[in-house]
Amino acid sequence: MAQEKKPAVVLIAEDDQEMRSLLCDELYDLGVSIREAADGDEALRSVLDARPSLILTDLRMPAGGLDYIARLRTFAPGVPMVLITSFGDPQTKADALAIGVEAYFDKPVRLSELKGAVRRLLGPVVNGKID
Amino acid sequence: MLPSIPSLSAKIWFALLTVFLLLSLNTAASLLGSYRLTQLQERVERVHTELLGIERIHSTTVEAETGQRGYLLTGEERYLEPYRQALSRVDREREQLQSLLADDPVQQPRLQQMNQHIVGILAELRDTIELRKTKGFEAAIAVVTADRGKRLMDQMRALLIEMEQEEQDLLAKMQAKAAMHNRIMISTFVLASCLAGLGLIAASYRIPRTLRERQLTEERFRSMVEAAQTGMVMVDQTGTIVMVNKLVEQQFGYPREELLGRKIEMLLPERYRTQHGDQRSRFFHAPTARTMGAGLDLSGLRRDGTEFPVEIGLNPIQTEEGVQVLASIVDITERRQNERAIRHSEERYRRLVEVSPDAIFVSRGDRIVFINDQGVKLFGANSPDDIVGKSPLELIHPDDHAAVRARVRQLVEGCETVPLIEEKIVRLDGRVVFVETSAARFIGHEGAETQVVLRDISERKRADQTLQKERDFIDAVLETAGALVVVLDREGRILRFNRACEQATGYSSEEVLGRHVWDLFVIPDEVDRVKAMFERLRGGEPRNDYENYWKGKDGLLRRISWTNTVLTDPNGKVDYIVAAGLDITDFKHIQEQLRKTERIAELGTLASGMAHEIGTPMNVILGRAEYLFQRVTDEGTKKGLATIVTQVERITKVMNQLLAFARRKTPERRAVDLGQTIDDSLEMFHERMAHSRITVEKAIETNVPSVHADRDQLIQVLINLVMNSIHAMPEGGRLRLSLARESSHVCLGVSDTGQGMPEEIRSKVFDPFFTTKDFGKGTGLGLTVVKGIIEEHGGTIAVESAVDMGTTFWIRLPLGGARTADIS
Repeated sequence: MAQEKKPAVVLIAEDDQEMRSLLCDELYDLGVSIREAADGDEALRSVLDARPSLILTDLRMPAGGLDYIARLRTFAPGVPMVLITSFGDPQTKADALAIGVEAYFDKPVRLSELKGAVRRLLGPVVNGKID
Repeated sequence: MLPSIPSLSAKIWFALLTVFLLLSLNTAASLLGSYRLTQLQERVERVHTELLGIERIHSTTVEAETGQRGYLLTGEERYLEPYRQALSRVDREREQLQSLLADDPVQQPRLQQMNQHIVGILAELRDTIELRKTKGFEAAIAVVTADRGKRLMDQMRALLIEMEQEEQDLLAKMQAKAAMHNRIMISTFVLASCLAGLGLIAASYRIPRTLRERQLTEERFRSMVEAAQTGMVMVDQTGTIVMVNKLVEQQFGYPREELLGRKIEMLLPERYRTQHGDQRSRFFHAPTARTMGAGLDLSGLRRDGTEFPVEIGLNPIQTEEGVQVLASIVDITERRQNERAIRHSEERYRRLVEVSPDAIFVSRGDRIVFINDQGVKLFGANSPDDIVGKSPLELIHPDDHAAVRARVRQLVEGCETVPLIEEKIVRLDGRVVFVETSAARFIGHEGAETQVVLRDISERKRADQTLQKERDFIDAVLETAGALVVVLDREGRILRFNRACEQATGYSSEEVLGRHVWDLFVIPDEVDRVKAMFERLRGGEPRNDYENYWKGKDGLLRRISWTNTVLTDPNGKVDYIVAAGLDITDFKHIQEQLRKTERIAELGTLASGMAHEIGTPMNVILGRAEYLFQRVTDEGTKKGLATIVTQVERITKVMNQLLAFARRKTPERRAVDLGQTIDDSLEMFHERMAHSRITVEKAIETNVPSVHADRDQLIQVLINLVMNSIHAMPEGGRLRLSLARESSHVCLGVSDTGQGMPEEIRSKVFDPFFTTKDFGKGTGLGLTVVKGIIEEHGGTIAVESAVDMGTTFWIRLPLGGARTADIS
């Protein structure tokens, strides 16, 4: 059955511009539609505006933090979340996983790894190239 | 001094008496002699008479016989005449003889016999005569020739001869006796006469000489008196001065002309004169040599009217003019003064003794003869009588007897005084009192005396004891104080050095006394500073504080924090400097450690903060490199980009380790079985080790007890060490893990046969950020973290290593409850 060719929307929430740019460039290959947020509030607004297919978010950023993650979770239940955070500690990891993120990465993370996780999580939705 | 006339006469009289006696003896002897002679003569007479008697009897008897014979022959009556006469005589003669020899026992029996003979003879004669008468001549002759009569006659004759002999002997004896008496008499007479003669001769020599001597003596007497050291006045019975000597002139100020012939009373003060007259007459009544007015204060009166004290001795002298008195006058002014002075001095002494706050007693021989009031009180007596008479040793505690005896000996041997000694005395009530005594010996007029002064030092002893207790307390405090206490004198020399100091430096108190601290303990760099500090204190600063190092005997340095104070004498001059120090070496170490820990903690915080900052940029670098790597084809470029990636990863690792260190969570300690932990850790390296040709040896003791530890951390430790070992053996080798129990510890060993480390590296191996690994490998934090973990468990880690000899890490962990290292 032919599916609706609707590109997946990935929300990238990262306050560092270069990092954000990098992530965008990397995920572009996946053929997903990218939405950017520079801080936690933007990310939440974006989620409320249009439900993404996946959220890739940093932890520590303005209006970020575990609370923000939790809120995200409630605003977008069922949406896979990938958390990346700079040199996170195990506790943070545990907390995040408790909230319900699907993947967790410590920066610096190899982008290939990150991409792989994203692809996996998007799985059935992705219409683009599947590597 | 004065030869008395009686004595001279006495000698003469004696001599004369002796002569008289001798002559008397003579006379007596003569009288006796003649008496004896007379007696003797009488006796001789008597003997003669006796002899005569005996003869007469004999002749009478013979006559009778003659008569008989005549008659017998003739028959004529006229021849019987002698016989008849004899017969009439014989009885009478016998009686006479009897009475003559009545008291002669020797002759008596003879006499009796003789009587018998006579009777017999006479009877025979009668018988024969009768026979002649009646019977005739023949009959009568027959009897005669019978010899009975003859025999009797012979016997009688023998007897008579015996008796005569006896008498003759007696006579001879008497004559001898008489001769002897004569001799005695004569000799005695001669001897006595001679002696008497001699005596008279001697006396005749003496008498004139004596008279001469007497004259000389008188002269000498006069000159002696004249020169006498005492005033001499001769006074006759009327009290008139008959002689004075020179001294009297001087004493009284009179020339002798003014004295001679005057009454003695003129030399006495008015008030004595009347009395003296009576005294004088009394004296002459019974003159004896004596001191005048014994006990009275006599005075003499000088010409100028002044008086002076005198002592007068009176000597009665027998002179031609009768009894006179020779008075010796001694001016005792000086003596009186001396006496007064002595009395004053004695009075003063007595007062001194009385008011003395000390007890004083005087002993003579072994008895106390005097004790003052204080002494009475001291010994708890009621009066001196309770003490006087006792021996001093009775009042002194037996413990001190030896010392006291020694002191007495010293005194006796000649020391005038002896030093103070402390003794215990025993009061009358038995209580013991501490005293300080001094003693002196002096020769009193009653003999050697010992004077003892006793001072009750109970108070002082108590004070001493209190002081001693305080000192002991201070000493105890000083000695047990944890602080180092050094007391210096004005010059900086050590006076006190407490035990804490001894322990800190290893020097004993004796070794350091008198020396300077800066010579002994202060390191060269600090000597000047310390000396300067000292000078400041000496100069008036009452107190200062500073820190310095002290080097002990073992060469180890200890850091001491000093508080110095100054003790001054009442004048404000510095007496002592007291330095109280705290050994802060350990404190400093801990401080250091704390700082290090804090720094590390800071570092941790920093790292965390940093990590957050650099994580993202690092990711950007990494990502971009990756990105480019995928899109370029040029190998060189690709290589370069790959390098960027790996380097970023390296940095990531370091950051992770840093963060891991900084993020150490509170360890969760449980009982951990080390053997199992070792196995688990090795599990991770299984592949790796197979690859790198490393053999693993395990020497795990069985039944090693568990340690109380955080398992994750221990694994971290083991991983770290094993990794290091693996890295040290790139060509392969042997890894040995051992686990053994050591009394209160568990000993874990990780040993390799790798390249080892030289000493300068080995010693720094636990320092943070110290790494030998090439750029890109190793982070330098591993072993620091390992050490931290082990030490937090209360254990120790050590490393042994030598180049090409391999390396061994030894970890010791306490059994049971491990305690965290106390950093507070």
